[in-house]
Amino acid sequence: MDTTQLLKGVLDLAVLAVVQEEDGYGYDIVRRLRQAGLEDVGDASVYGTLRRLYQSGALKSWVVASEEGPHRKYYGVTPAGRDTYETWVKKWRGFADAMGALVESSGREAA
Amino acid sequence: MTTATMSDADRYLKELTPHLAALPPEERAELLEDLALHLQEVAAEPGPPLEERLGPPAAYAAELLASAGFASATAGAAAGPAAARSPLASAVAVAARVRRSAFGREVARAWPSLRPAWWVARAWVAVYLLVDLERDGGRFHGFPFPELFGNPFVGFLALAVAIPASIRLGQKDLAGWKRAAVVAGNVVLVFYALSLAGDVGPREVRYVDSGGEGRPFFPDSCLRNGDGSVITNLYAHDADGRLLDPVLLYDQFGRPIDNLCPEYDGQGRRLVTEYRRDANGAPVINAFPRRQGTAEPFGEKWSPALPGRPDATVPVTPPAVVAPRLSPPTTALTPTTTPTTTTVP
Repeated sequence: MDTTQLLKGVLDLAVLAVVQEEDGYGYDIVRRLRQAGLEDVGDASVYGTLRRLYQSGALKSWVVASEEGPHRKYYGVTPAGRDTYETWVKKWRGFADAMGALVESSGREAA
Repeated sequence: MTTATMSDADRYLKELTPHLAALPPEERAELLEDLALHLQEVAAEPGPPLEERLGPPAAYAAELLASAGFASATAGAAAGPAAARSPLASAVAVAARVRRSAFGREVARAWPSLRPAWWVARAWVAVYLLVDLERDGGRFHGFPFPELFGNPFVGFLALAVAIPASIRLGQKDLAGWKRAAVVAGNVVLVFYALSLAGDVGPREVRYVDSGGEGRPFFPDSCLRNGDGSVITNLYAHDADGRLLDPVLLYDQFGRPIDNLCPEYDGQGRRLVTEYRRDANGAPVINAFPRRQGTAEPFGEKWSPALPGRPDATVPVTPPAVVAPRLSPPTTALTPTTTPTTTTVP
């Protein structure tokens, strides 16, 4: 199965999970997602997701000036974003449990 | 920051820009400004040139638009700058904005589960349209089963065919002209359904919401008694006290009398009033008494007559005092214009 299809559905949650752990700038967030095992994640998708989450009020952002490199736009979670994240986490757990059980039971049948 | 990375980011952004043409200008300008910063950030990280790292600009733009919630602009993006100026592109952009709103997102989320309901509804509307075409006007006959050829059973059969057909059509993944035809048909049905909703008013059953909470609304010009109380219906009796049903009423100029106060009775209850109809099903605005019942919120309560039944009896015969015997008028009143006679069933 194409992982990018799976990613599309969970990218909001993944991005929020990374940012709520620690504020970060665009490329840094991509890198952390990849390090966490989502190797297929694309920069454009993450950047687009950050923008959307920002516009929906789940994220705040600010620019940090840098002497030796370009300015960096940092993102952090707002209180509303934290609420959203917690709601999504609950939904995700239910979904993941259901999928896990489903795949496991069909796996047993196949075996 | 080196000039090389700057120019790499600039070049990439320049190539990417035309692919964002479908966005509304303000949104695009804001996105480009933000994106420039982002690309500089990425370019500053050690690694190969941007195009190698991020893929072709067109693909990057498409992925960005989709993930940022501009999905419907993605199709327009490929068409380039010309698309931005076309009315279609503006419509697409407006649609995209609606879709991004909280309401739009909720609808989009619920839409897959709502689709079957729409398939059933459009079949229903299509059969009503058929009834309308067959009767040549005089709409919305029969509910819940449309009276096709005057018969609700035929209407039921038509629904039994139309609903499964509509569902099958909905489940098919059509493309090209077939898809266009279905979309056009849907548009026609939606407009027809809207016209039906509007038509339920003047042509058949008439009710008006109260002007304010608990305050009945009466048009100023409607017929009243001397004490100002409203007249909602007229019951003509002959000299022996027998109800004349129906009668056609005209004023001194031969104009049909139509200006009764049909929305509320004197006690503040909402009324549902139905015009009498001629043999062709067309409403006769000055035929009395009209069928009338009190309306409940979210529905009508007809007592005892039901709407649309040509053989229904008139509910109330109100005169408390039986009309006195009248001596025949000495001088016959002649309307200046002869009223046109219409057959009333």
